Amino acid sequence: MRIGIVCPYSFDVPGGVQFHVRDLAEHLIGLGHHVRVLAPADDPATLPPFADPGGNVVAVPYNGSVARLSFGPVTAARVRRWLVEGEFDVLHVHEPLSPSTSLLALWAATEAVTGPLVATFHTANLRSRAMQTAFPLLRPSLEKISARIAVSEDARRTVVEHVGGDAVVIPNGVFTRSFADAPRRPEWTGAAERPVVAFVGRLDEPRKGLPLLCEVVPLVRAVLPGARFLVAGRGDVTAARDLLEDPSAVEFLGAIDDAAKESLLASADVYLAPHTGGESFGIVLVEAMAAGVAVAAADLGAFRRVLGDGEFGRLFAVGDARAAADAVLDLLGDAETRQDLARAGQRAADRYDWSVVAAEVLTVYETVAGS
Amino acid sequence: MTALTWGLVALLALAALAWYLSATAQRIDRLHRRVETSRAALDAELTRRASAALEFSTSGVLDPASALVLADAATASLDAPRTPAALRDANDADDAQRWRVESDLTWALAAALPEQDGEGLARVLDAERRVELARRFHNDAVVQTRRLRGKRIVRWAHLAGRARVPETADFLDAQES
Repeated sequence: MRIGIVCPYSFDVPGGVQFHVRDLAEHLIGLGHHVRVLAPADDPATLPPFADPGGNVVAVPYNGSVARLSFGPVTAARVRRWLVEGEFDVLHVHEPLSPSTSLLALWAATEAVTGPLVATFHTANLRSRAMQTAFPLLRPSLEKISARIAVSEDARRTVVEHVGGDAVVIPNGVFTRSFADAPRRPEWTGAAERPVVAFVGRLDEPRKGLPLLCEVVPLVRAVLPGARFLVAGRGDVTAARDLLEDPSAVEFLGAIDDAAKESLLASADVYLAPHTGGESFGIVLVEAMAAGVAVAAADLGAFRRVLGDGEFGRLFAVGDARAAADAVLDLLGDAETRQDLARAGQRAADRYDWSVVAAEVLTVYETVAGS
Repeated sequence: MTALTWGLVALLALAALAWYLSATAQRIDRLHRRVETSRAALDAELTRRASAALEFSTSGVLDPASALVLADAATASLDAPRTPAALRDANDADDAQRWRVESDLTWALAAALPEQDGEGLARVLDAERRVELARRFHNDAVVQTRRLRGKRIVRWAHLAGRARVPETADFLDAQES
């Protein structure tokens, strides 16, 4: 099958949508399909071999943060040419409402040129004023989409409420094997008196829960003085340290690469997800489960679904430091429960392996392309 | 002078209206085609599911009672009248019977399918999943078409021609059973 995939965000900054597009493309190529990806980029050398540059990258404030997008007449023309030259059987557009290559591809697409259109909605918050104002202009483009995919129930609800119509849920994929097989690092592996609690996430986004984690640390260490907290993620470490009563209680690892993240999750005893909201899916929980670490997570809708209502991980009330600390202490205090939970989580994570997820995406392609 | 200005304004307004009407007609046409292709895909997936179910029922894996129930539901689905996918010729009254039969097959599958995995079972489960997808994509197209066709200007200007208003495919699929 000839498949065209459009990514709205530049590959030069890491992000969930970019990783998803990259992994999906790699997996489909591995299955023997012809795949081309279009993404914003100035220089083709910065892109993976299966991707084409979509046009100059502009950093603009959009929807509350700075996004690296591509738009304007030059980009529009380039997107149009890419669609014609690609001769695709199916065109898969990611995050179709972001004002970048995706929206332009949707706008330029006609069934005769691109084959049926598939779109994946990643985000669970579309409620921007600009979106509401511009929506009547976008509707004709959205009507071209033959199959809509949402990455989670929450993303699907957003589609139903704000765009109208319906979508099927196909979750984000994870290469579960690389987490399950990741080598443990001795410096990150806990001991009986010095158990390790890990957290991966941006330090400067409060909704990722670092402030709550800083409240949990003294509560846990009051019972288990040897407990270590390892925090990985980009952001201002000095500002994060200021949140702590005892700055030496938390070890900040900074931004770490994929291999280090896999090892960190495989080495730790408990993964703590103190998020306070805004999560559409919770891929980091799946990664932790795949790595075989017991998970304690805030009781957000997206997390509850990934954790099977608590069957594959411990849930605690959102924003409640005492409840979070109790959940962590429970798990650290009982090795047997912890290992059972970790094993159940690892089995449940298989459902999110790319082999399963990519097969579902292909089924969608076949359904609309008339296999 | 003023008459000329007014004439020009009227001409511009008329041109804008004509452009809007033609663009909307194009949208409706595109949506109608989506409804027709997604309906054809749904029909194909339903047929595939029924034949997979029939094959499984005769494979000898099931006990005779389950096999009989499943074979009965699957044949009923294969024998149900197919309405043409085209919006011009079809009549929704024919579909009600069809959806009842398809819901019955979903129930029969839920009741008869064994827990463990097997060679023929994988085909049935795959076909069920595809029916779910095809139904959701079809209903999505129908909902958007009905939304646009409900607009006053579309009705007044008869932009939809003589094509009937499509109806959603209302039957149980494996997701809800």
